[in-house]
Amino acid sequence: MTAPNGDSAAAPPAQRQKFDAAAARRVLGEVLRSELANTKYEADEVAQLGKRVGETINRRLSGEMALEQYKYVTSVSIFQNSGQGARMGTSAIWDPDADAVVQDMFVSDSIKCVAVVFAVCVY
Amino acid sequence: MDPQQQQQQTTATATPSQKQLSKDEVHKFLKSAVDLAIGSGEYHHRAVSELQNNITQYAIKKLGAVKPASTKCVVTCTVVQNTDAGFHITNALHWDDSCDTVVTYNFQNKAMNIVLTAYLITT
Repeated sequence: MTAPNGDSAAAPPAQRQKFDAAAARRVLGEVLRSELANTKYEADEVAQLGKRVGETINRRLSGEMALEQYKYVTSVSIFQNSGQGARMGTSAIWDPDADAVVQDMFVSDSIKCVAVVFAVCVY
Repeated sequence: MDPQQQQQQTTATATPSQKQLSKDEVHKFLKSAVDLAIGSGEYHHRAVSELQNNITQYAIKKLGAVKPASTKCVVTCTVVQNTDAGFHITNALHWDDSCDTVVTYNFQNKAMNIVLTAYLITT
């Protein structure tokens, strides 16, 4: 969907500018491992930890992917690893060609962390 | 006294689905999604996946029906068994604060914690 002069400001991104989910997943994994290795679950520090992980992920994605049209929503869930049951799921109304969700998990003796990134394209 | 001439003004009235949703409205929808799906409110490992799915679907269907066409919507639901173990969910948002919102509804009973989050992103 391009205007006559070829300018596609109002269209979904061209193929080469699309969000690269595989690359994003690698970034996610790297951030989780570097921030969470050797951490223990501490109730008064977990909020800061989650915030740091989320902001680092967003910073790296926006810096490395360098996709102007994308907004990033990162949800970081940190659980004390003690055998409790949990279930997480998401649903989205968006543009499946342009938008993507990427997730990764980090597990240690002390914590389980799930990071989910929603990459949403704006036109 | 001159009779006032009534100026016929045509204003573009927004249809309800064009209006930006307020945080309170979204919060109400999220709460009603949990209320509808919760049933007995007990945590059963085999039933939790259906519970999480129902909550998410109720929420996304409702939001999808009332949100403006230019808004994308993502709903995340996390159901955690209520034990002594701690957990924390953080959002890191790389977006436009003036037009994007996040609303979270927390529910807790003896058996479980439910965290239901809706992200509304304007394109």
